[in-house]
Amino acid sequence: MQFTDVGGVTKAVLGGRLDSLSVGEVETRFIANIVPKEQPAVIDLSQVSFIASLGIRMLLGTARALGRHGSKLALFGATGPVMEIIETTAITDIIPVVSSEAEALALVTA
Amino acid sequence: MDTGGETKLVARLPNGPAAIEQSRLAVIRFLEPFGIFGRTINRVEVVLEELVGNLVRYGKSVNQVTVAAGYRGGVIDLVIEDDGVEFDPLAMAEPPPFTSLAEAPLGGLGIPLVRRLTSSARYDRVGSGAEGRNRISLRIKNG
Repeated sequence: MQFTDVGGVTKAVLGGRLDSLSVGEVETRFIANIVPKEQPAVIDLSQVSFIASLGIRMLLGTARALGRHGSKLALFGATGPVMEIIETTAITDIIPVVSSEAEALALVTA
Repeated sequence: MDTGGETKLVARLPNGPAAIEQSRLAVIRFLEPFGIFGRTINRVEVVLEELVGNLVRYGKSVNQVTVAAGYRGGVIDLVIEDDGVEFDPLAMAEPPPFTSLAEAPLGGLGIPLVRRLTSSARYDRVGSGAEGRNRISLRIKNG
């Protein structure tokens, strides 16, 4: 898990399996590195190989907490199986999910 | 345990965090020779993660989790049984559609995922008394 600042946008890179075990291990650090900054964030999912409901909940909770500060969050780079699960949960209705980092950055800074 | 298809795998696991990974690896290993599509394997993994994960997290009365799998004619049958008190996780109402980020519920995403990733999902209470078990029978088409 890596965090960088891209011109006032927090960029987080997640990797590996976002299953119940790993979410339990990374969630606190993930949220702590994004939400307190009170700035937009983009999440790179290109290296995530698996996601289930607890991973979706972590992303949703982070987006909601950022939203309370008036900041947006976007996801990008999800691979086929991960994208299918994201779409199946329908969180795409409330969190932007795009292909590229550039698109995600443009969306959260618009 | 009857999976509907030809049962090839029955994994009996003590309830605990390790059961999630053990059931996943057992089922994936079982399905490997059949040339199942990657996205179908992913659906199987998500369904196991949700249902076995729920038992591990919330099934205080569960001592043993049994996962059975069968494959025939492009269809994967999964059966997940536990020896806990009677509980039907599939009885949970479908949550309303997301309307806004601020009002989105954070919980309850797992069972809707299971319903949507399977072509059928059924709960039965089987056995009686001390032999009573919760059984969830699931079908996932390879495709």
